[in-house]
Amino acid sequence: MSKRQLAMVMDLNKCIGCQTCTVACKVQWTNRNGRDYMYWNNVETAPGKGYPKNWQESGGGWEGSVLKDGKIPSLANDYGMPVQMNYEQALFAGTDPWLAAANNPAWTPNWDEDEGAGEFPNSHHFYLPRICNHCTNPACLAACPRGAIYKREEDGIVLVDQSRCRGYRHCVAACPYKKVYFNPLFNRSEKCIFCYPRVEQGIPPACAKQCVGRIRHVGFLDDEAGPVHKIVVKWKAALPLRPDFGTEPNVYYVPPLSSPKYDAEGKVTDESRIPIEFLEKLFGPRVGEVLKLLEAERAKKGRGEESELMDLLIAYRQEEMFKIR
Amino acid sequence: MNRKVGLSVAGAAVLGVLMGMAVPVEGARRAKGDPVASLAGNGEVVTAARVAGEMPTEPGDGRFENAVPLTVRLYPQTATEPRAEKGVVREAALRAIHADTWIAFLVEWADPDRSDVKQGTTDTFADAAALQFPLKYGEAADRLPYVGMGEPGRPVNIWFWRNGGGTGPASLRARGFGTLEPVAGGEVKTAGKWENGRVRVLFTRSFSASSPEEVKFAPRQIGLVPVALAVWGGEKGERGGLKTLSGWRFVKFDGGKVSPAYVRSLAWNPKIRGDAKTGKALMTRHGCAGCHAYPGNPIPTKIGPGLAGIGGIHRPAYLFESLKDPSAVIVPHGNYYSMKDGQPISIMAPFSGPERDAYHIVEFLRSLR
Ligand code: SF4
Ligand code: SF4
Repeated sequence: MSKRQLAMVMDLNKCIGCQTCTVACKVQWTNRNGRDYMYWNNVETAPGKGYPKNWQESGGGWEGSVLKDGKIPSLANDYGMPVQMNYEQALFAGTDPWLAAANNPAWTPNWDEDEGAGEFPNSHHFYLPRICNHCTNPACLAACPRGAIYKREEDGIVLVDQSRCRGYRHCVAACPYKKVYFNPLFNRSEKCIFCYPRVEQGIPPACAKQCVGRIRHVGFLDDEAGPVHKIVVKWKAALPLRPDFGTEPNVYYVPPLSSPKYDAEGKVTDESRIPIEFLEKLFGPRVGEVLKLLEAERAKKGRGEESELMDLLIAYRQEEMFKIR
Repeated sequence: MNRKVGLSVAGAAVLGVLMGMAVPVEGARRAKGDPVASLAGNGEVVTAARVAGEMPTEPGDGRFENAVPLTVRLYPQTATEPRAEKGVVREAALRAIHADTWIAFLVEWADPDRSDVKQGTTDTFADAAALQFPLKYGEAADRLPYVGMGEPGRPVNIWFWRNGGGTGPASLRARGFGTLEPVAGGEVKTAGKWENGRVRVLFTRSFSASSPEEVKFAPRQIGLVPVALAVWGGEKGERGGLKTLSGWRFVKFDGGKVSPAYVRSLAWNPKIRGDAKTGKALMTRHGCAGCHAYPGNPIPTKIGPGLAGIGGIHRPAYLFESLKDPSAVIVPHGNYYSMKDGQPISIMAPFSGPERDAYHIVEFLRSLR
């Protein structure tokens, strides 16, 4: 465990799935040199298979104090080969069909975007943005026989030492979130670095700073004046993803409230469309409690009363979402 | 901690047969005349044939026909995590040739499923092979380094080839599991070829080394150099510690100088002749079976290093030392030791039973191969 922990809160009620975070990260870090297929930040549709495909069933994480076996996803079948489009021909020569993929992908990030689950009119989905969780008990770190992965004392950021990594990929298999990626060009593993070069200069991670929905707060968990402490510790309104994996993630999600179900006559019921069991699997047993808290605080705000939690989540001023010093 | 390493998982039945076999005592076979006869008699010596001309550049170099191959058995690495429970390549042939200023090795093994570096994949691994040399050897070295990538204070130089390349310099140094680092300015050259279901890998270097972290050869002073082998079957996901390895072998330079004292220091001269069968029973009586997995031990324990193959990987003197002084060499795996006054101390207690029992146990461990 590090001395301090920098953490992120993502409010799933505000995520519109625009992928601005994905693009911010990609442009900053992964659009070159063997990283083209990697999405250190991805936004997937839940329910869904996600990215890489079926990551939740890919093993890894902890069973008590023992690492569970995990699998290494395949580029073509689980991550998805970067799709090559025939831009040259389409834009400058003119072809029919006009714009087409040059390869035939089996899977890509967002392959099942917006599919979700349920039958009309009770279909449902929400967006689930995912980055490395900079875990308190990182399975990736424990799995590396070379000690090439480390967790920084000063902020808990988990990094792969590129000079020590020899591309064995035990970390890729061990991370239950599949947030370590293998770079075949350099024969090394790489992952989200929580934008540490930005953070060290007091600038928030690119994915958080660029987020148009203002869903991402960044701060130290122990900083009582910071937004993350207030939402996670004081209000207990955000929860880690798949806590059952045992890695103790430091990305926290404000769980999504659900639209109500319609009955056979088309009347609105009080049943929620997103099954609570589904949310409990993702965010643990406290999710129902948190959803009630959110509803109550939202109702207060609706009545014109004060709600510190709602004010925090609304994020009137973007700069107040980040306190990283 | 550990020093016991594991062996081939040939299975309990085969081991039973092996355990029944009399294990030759090197001391008993020491012959007059050729100083390395005792080692050679144990199948531990490969002679580097003297040839003329430039350093070879490809594994097919005809001059290797002058060299007598040594068959080297390889055992799955089970001393540290992750353990290679089965191991893909279990045997390789080692040949060596040399001229006045260079040495070349040829490692060859059967591999029906070739695996090379496949760009555009994230879940494939390439075949690989390595030679390992102690940085210090001969009478100047107190003893051989721990064969699993050396140990603190007894570094090794590793020459590494991977099918398809892409792992940086071919010359590396290590002081124990997990410490591998490239040697800056190393001059080892490698070339591999897969043909008709066999992989052949060439390793070459000049006698002198430009880096102090590389092994040097001076056959006129010391004509007998320890060498160990490791091979990775990429198609089965072997990489890093998931590999098979050999025990220390010795390259003898045709026309090189070998001091009898040096060879004597490598021999095993037990005070008491042990008995493997008795040793096996003692493994349970003295509690070894509670922490070490080995063929015939029903306890699926991983508290200490696995012992399957340990007799093939380690020399008996090392096994004896590990038993009596487990902290002398500690395999760097967190579960195997604790720190005391800044020093790693093996969680295994030094063997405190009768001397005779220690020899029986060593004899049993030698039979695990
Ligand atoms: S999410 Fe995965 S890669 Fe990130 S720290 Fe946790 S175990 Fe490691
Ligand atoms: S914190 Fe930085 S590196 Fe990590 S996902 Fe966000 S933009 Fe990418």
